[in-house]
Amino acid sequence: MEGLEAQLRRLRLDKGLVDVTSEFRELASRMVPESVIKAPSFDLFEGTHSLEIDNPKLDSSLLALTEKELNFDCTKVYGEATEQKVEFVTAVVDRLCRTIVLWLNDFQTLPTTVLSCRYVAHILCQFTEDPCADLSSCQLETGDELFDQVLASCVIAVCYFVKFVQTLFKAGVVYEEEDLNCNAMGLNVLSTVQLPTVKSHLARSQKLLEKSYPQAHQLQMLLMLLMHLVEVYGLLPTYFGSTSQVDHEHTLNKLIETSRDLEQFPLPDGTVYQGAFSAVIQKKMSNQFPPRDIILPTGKEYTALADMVQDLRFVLSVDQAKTVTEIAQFSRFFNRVRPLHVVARAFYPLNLMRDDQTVLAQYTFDEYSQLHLEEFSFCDTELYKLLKNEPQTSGVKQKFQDFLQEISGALFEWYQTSSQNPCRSRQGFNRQLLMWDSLQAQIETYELELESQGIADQLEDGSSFMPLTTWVFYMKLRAMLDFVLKGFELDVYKPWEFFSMFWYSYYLAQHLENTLHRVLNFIEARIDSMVALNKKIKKLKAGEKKEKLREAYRAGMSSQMPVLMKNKDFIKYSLLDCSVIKILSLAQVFQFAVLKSFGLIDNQHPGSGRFSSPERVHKLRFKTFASIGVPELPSYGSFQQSLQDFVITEPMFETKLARSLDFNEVELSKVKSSLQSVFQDIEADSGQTRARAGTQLVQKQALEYYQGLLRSTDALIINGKTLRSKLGNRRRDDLSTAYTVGISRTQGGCSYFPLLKLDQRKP
Amino acid sequence: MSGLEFPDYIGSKIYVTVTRARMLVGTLVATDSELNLLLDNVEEITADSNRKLGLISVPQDTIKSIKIEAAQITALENSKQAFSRDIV
Repeated sequence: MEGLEAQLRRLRLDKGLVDVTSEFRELASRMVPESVIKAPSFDLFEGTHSLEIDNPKLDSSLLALTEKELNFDCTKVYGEATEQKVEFVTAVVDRLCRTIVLWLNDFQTLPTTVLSCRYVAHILCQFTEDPCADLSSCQLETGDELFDQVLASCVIAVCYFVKFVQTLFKAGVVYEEEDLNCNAMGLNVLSTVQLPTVKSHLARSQKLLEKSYPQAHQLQMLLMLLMHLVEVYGLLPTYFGSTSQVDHEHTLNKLIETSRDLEQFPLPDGTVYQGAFSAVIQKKMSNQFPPRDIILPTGKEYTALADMVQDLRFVLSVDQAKTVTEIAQFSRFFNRVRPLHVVARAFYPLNLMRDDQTVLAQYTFDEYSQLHLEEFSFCDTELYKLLKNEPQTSGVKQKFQDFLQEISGALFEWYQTSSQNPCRSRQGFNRQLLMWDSLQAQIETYELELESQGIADQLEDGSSFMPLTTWVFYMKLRAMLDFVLKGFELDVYKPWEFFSMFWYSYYLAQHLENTLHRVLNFIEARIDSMVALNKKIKKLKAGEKKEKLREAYRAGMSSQMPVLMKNKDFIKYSLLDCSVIKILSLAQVFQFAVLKSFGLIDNQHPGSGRFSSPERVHKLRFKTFASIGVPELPSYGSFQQSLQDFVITEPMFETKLARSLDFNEVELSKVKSSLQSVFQDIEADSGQTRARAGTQLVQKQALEYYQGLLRSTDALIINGKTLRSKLGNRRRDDLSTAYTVGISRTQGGCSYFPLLKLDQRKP
Repeated sequence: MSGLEFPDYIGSKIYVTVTRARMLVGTLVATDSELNLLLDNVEEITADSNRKLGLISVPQDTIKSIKIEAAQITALENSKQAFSRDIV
């Protein structure tokens, strides 16, 4: 208590205070028991996050520290002989490198991993107090160069990597606590320090090690690892101007190589550096979190580090994409089946859509958005041709440019979604729906205006094509489908909701299929018309008209035709992809209806009762879609009617059931054949002759996704057979006493299609 | 401290000495009839350090003393008296 009093005197807090303890006790005793007095603006729910004094689970002041931890001194040399000093520094640096992986891979916090290193805390405290960009404030001052130079270098390098991750984190793609914990206890993590300063600090250490400690092999390798690790900062697009793709490849390859080399060393004996890693930072520094044990390495850290770097290298490979479709397909598949490392996920959109308003430093946002349109439905349309010759100042062109900006905004959201964790990704698709819907309404008005001016494209049946609206509708439908189906992946729906959600997914896929067919018809007509032009030219007599047509034909064949051919291939692949989703959704609807036919399941919420109704519950589930203009959300009655249409009833129950199950099996076999064609498309992509699916850069990931769908198809076929054998042919009312309906996930199957399976009811 | 009730102290900066020779300085945001306190923006002062802890709940059995700045009490009393005058 004396110490506290002295401290209060130092802080001048010992005067002018009035003791109100007994006054407060008296006032509290007059309160109604169990009542609470609180500030009007304070929400008591917030109080549940408070840290409780003297509670060992919440009070970090109670953390018990060992003698070694209490006496550890960062300004002291540990070890007497050179060999011992090297052993100590090597062990500390090794553990420090491992803590990076522990932090990033196991959702751990900085104070329990990297910041648990006393040297890190020491150097960052110094830097926070005096943030010198030349690192002059980051000193250990032991008087021994191995500590003051080499160990300090390694600590600075690790901190610099933390800074890299913090920079990624600030971009908002990954989320605090869900994906990553970036709380640095209020310490400044080298914010003003530039990469070359860190690199030269490390280079000095490398020279010193080579000259004075040639026997310190492991330490040299660790230093090498850290030299490459800090260079990862150079991957940030802000640094791209000064480094090349080749440099990045080299850095990442070296990093993987060095990590693999370091795997051979066993975990050092923790007694070598006792006290150097401790919970002391949690106890001594400002801390708004409960105390946590520091995380110990397991020995697999360098393998995990190499895996992280491989993921980074993979996301960087998007730079090799030659078309916008390839980039879009990369985004669709890169993080789909196996979630990538959080650092790679955070890095991807930052690298793709850059602060300088470019995509991969290759296209401006507007160019990129226009290419998205061109590589789908816009190529060789009337508006496309008009815009080529229109001056920048024309009204049509300016309005088109405005739309490109709007499209860029929606696309930015779409690309960011692809990188997020599954829950955030579904939330992202949800957010996109209204964006696409509002964009569709605006762009449709624009195209109708153009049509009134004679700038229009028609399909063979005479209907209006509207290429821009068509593309926006296509993007919206895809987002809607992903949003609906991701609900299955995340276990959002209960078995009784399977019918509504799969039927709606089928409905959306049907719209998507129609849209893709419209685009295919248009593209084929444009290709045919271009080919026909050649025949027309041949029939014409030589002259000015023939020359003009020949010129138009040559221009069309060299610029539009290759794009149209690629688009045609991609639409054909997309049709296969869409039909797979459509039929699998339908098969799920069929199986639900079969179960309902036997009275084993219903699409009504089992808890619907006095305070709600099945219709209200249904409307709540579909609330998101209620405000979407097109495709219109079917009414509750339509959902109910549709289910009734699928449910099998007497008379001829047996025949109808057999027909239903047979039909389902036939449809599913069609899925298998569609998937075989998709596999061929993806495998053909590697030949680079005609990239049908645009999946060259994510071939493995795309194949994995479709193989998952194939496994789900097989599982649905088997499930149909199981239902047939368990339920029998005749309608029975007693089956609900024997079975319950549960959800099962197919091993290696697509997460969008869990099965409704029959479980034996437990007695 | 004449006439001050518990709600008057809510929002005041208080100095609470607790177990293990620590003083917590923070804003009183809530209390109950047991005199368990909820303090926000808390700074913990010990013999050799002071640090920020955020939102802290202080169980009554850990409280050794509660203090408040004399100037703060005067301000509370004055504002209460002014308020009462306005009502009259």
